[in-house]
Formats: sequence, structure tokens, C-alpha cells
Amino acid sequence: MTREMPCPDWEARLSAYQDGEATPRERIAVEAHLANCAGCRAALAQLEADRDRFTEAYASSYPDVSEYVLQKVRAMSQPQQSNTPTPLLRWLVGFSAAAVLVCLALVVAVFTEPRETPVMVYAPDGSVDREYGAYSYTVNGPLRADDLPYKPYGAKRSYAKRPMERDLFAVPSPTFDATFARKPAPAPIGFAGDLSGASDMLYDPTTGRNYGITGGLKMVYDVGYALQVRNALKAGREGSALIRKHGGFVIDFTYAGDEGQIPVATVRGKVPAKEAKATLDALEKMGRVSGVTLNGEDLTPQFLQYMEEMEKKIKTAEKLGNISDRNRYWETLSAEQSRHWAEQQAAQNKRAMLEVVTKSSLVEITATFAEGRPMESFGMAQFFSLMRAILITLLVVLAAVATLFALVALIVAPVVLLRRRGTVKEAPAAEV
Amino acid sequence: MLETDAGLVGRVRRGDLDAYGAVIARHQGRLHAAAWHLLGDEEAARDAVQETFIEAYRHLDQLRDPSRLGSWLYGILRHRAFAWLASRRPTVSWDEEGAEEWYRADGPEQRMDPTDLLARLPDEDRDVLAARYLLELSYDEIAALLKISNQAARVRVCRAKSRLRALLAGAEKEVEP
Repeated sequence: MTREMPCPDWEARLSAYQDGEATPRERIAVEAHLANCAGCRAALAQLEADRDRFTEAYASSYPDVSEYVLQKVRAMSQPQQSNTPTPLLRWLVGFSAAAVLVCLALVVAVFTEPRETPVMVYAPDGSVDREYGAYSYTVNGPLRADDLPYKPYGAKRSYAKRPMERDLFAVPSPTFDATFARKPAPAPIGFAGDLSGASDMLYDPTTGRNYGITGGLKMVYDVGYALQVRNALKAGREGSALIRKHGGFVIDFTYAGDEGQIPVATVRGKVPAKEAKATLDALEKMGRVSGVTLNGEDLTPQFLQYMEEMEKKIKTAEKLGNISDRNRYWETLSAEQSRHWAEQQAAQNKRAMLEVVTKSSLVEITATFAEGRPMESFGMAQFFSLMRAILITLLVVLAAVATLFALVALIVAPVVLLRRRGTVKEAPAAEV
Repeated sequence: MLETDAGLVGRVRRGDLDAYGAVIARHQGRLHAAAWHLLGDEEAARDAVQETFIEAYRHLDQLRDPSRLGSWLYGILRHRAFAWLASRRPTVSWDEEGAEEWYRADGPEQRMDPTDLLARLPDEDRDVLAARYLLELSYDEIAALLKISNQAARVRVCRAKSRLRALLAGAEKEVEP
């Protein structure tokens, strides 16, 4: 009998085929090849024969080791239950304990970090609000960045109804649109909507710019700004000057610089509505805005109604050729003259009316300047808050890992304790 | 119905020694054959199998995939066997002529014990052949044991088979004339 060699290309595939490890495609190819190649058929038969000879060589009866093994196993599973933990267990427990301790230490370190002292802040309406950290539309003060409107605080927004005092009618719109945002807000999308539940707030996340006195706002009768500045007193004086510069007047100026308290200057004044936006723009540049309060009302319908009435009067006067009883003198004039006069008078009236409305529409601005680091750009404060965020993230990750290890240790410990011996890997040569 | 390896392992882990008895009964025949093939000695094979089972019991918690109990047991066995062989003898390189000389020298009656002949295969081939033919491990399992790829395992098996063929052919050459 001669030993058959398969075709060289087919040897490996034939071997895999014999072992049932050929891929389906290979199997088809091998079977097709076998149909045509007597040499490979013989080689396959040879492989089978070799395997049979090989396995038969070791097919003799074997000694039953079960009794011996079970006896040994029984002997070693009885004692030495839990005197010393295995290295793995010890390691797990040690690590878990250490991680938990580190986590606790970090938690304590981070969360007992001294917070800024609550500051007594005078709200624009004169009421005192001691609440610190909560965001509401009537609270102003040196709030910390993470207390500010990034998160909705569920604060209620209220528009006090006041009698019509003044109009700001630059853009006619039937709705009152006001947005409350910190000026350098890092534009979390959807923030404006979350804050108040008002659906028609305006907020431009691309610029992050929003004053509250935007397109749709018809009338603002008071605005409160809380700013953080380097020097409250100086800022207060500048704020007063700013209000005057924009044609307004200061109602009162308070400064509280008691020892142990954060110095706060509050300026309350009125500026013409037309100047309000420019005033607030300038005000914002004085420090870091930490709170904005707006109160307003939509007076468009009343204003339009007023305009309409005026128009009617003018038209009637025009038709009649006279304006009023007081101007009876003009009755003798010609219709032509009369009409000309009426037109002039109408235009004058309109101007006067506008002027009156505009002049009377004073916006009250309350600016609270509290001393603190202004955060115009990426400074130390941002750096620290970033570090703090990183630390907290690390801490959370570490805590998760520690919990995981603790859990694993909890699950593994009983198993390990039951089967604690050496390890397979390190086992020395078998003493066979 | 026959209980699966995984089921038995689960029971052993819960402290059921009878289940371990069933494990031993199921695997000891094949392991013995493999040990015999690797060590070339029946006595040593028995000891090696015993040690393997004791060691396996001790470290059963390290068995990640209980359905691969067979290949895991073989892994322990081969580890011990090769360590033992390494401590016992200087490595012998494989050559066909050696096999033929051995045949000539020992006379025809010796030829009837094929295990002595097969013991002359190189360690690597004996390992693979034991895994493939005696333990009937898949290529994947062999690859995992040898820490090589499936493709490399395939090549190793094929090479071992071809050396086996050469060995048996060489032996026959001696018998026939």
C-alpha cells in the first residue's frame, strides 16, 4: 500500500474538509474536485485511514480516575474556608475600599467647597429678596454662573397690570415678546422656551444676544439689571451718568458696602423709551450680567385706537372747514385755505401726539451693581469652573467603577472563598 | 437526556460533587488518550489525567465558557504535560530517518505497538493531533488553545496530518519489504 498525496493545492482544503471545517464554498469546491481527481479521493481516504489508525492506537481501556479525583476533591473542599482571602479577592476588596474612600473624600471636598455668601438684594419694587441661588424674574444679584438661566428654575413670570403710561411702538406686533436671557449665555438650544413656558419668546442662539426689548416688545415700564462689576460704587456712579446721558433721570441711588458683605450699588432711574435699548446696551458693557428683570405690557391696540380717533377728528374738521370752536375765526377763510390749514393742523397734531407719547414713555431702569469678578472672557473663574466640572466627571466615573468593583467583589467573594487555591497559570510542572 | 457540560459545571459550582463525577466520566477517556499520546507513557498519562481533574476542580471558577469544558480540560492537561516533558528530557527534533532507524532497531514485534511510533511525532504535531483526533476539538478551539488564529490552526492541523502520514508511510515501508 502506498501513501497517497493529494494535489498540493488541495491539501489544506482536503484536511479542513475531512475535519468538517471547510466553509460551504470550499466544501462545494472540494466535492467537485474529488469527483474529478482520483489522487485526491485516495488522499482523503488515506487521511481517514490515518485518523483511524491514530485513534485506534489510543483506544484501549483507560484507568478510571474518578474515584481518586473525587476523594482528593472532597478532601480539599472541606477545610480552609475563609482564613485568608485569595490574592484576587484581597485585591478586589482592597481596591473597592480604597476607591470608595477616595470617592467619599472627593465628594466631601467638592461639595463642601465654600459657596458665595448670599447677598441681600433690593428688588426693583423695593421688596427684599434674600433667596440666593434660585432664579426668579424679580431677583437680582451676583448669582453664580451655574445658578443662572441655563437651567429652568420653574420661576413664575408675571406681568403686573398697570395703567397705560407709555408706549414703545416702533414695531407693530400683536403679541408681547420678551426674552429673558443672560447676555453671554452659551446658547443652550431651547433654553428660552424652557424658562417661562411662554411660547413666543425671542432668543437668537447664534448671537446669544437678547435684551428683552426686542422687536415685538411694545412697552416696557421697568427693566432690572443685575451686574457683577469690579467696583460697585464706581459702577453705580457710571450707571447714573449713563441714564442721564440718555436723556433720563435718576430717581435714587443706594450703596451698601458694609463690612463682610459684598458691596452693592443700586441705581434706579428713568429713560425715554426710545433710549432704553441704547441705555441697556451700554449698561451691559459695564459688567457681567447676572440677572434681568422686565415688566411690560402690549399697548398697541390702545395706541391704534387713539390714532384712529385722532384721524377721524381731523377728517371731520377738514370736511367742515373748521377745526374747533376755539378757531371760529377761520371760518371766514376760503375752503382752499381751510383745507390747507386743516392738513397742517392734522400733521401737527399727529407729530404732537407722537411726541407726547414718546416723551411720556419713560422706561424705569434699575441697575444693581454687585462687586465680583466680571467674566467677560475666559478667565480664572471659567478655568476653575471647568476644572470643577472635570473633577466632578472624574469623580462620577470613579464612583461608577468603585461601585462596579464592589458589586463584583460582592458576587465573586463567596465563589472565590469556596474555591480558593493557587492559580492554574502559575502551576508548576505536573508531577505525573 | 444527557446533561450538557455547561449544566454539569453549573452543578459542580454549586457544590455538587456527583456532577463532577459525571464530568470525569465523560472526559477522562479522551483525556487519557491525549495524555498518553503527549507523554508516550500510560502510567504518566493516568497521573496527568488525575492531576488535570484535580486542578480543573480547583480552578473551575476560571472557566469562562462552560460549554468549552473539553478544550479547557485539554488546555490544563497539555500545559502540565509539556511542562513535565520539558523537565524530563532534552528536546528531540523530529526527523523521519530517526523513525525509520528506530523501526529497524527495535524489530518487528515492537512495531505492533503504534503508540511508541506515534510518540515520535514532534510535540507540536502531537498536541494538534491529540486536540483534533482524540479530543475532537474544533479549529476555533484549537486556535484558542494555541493562541493563534483560526487560519493558523488550520495550517497546523494540516501539517500535523501530513507528518502523521509520512510517519505511518515510513513505518509501512519498513514492514512491507
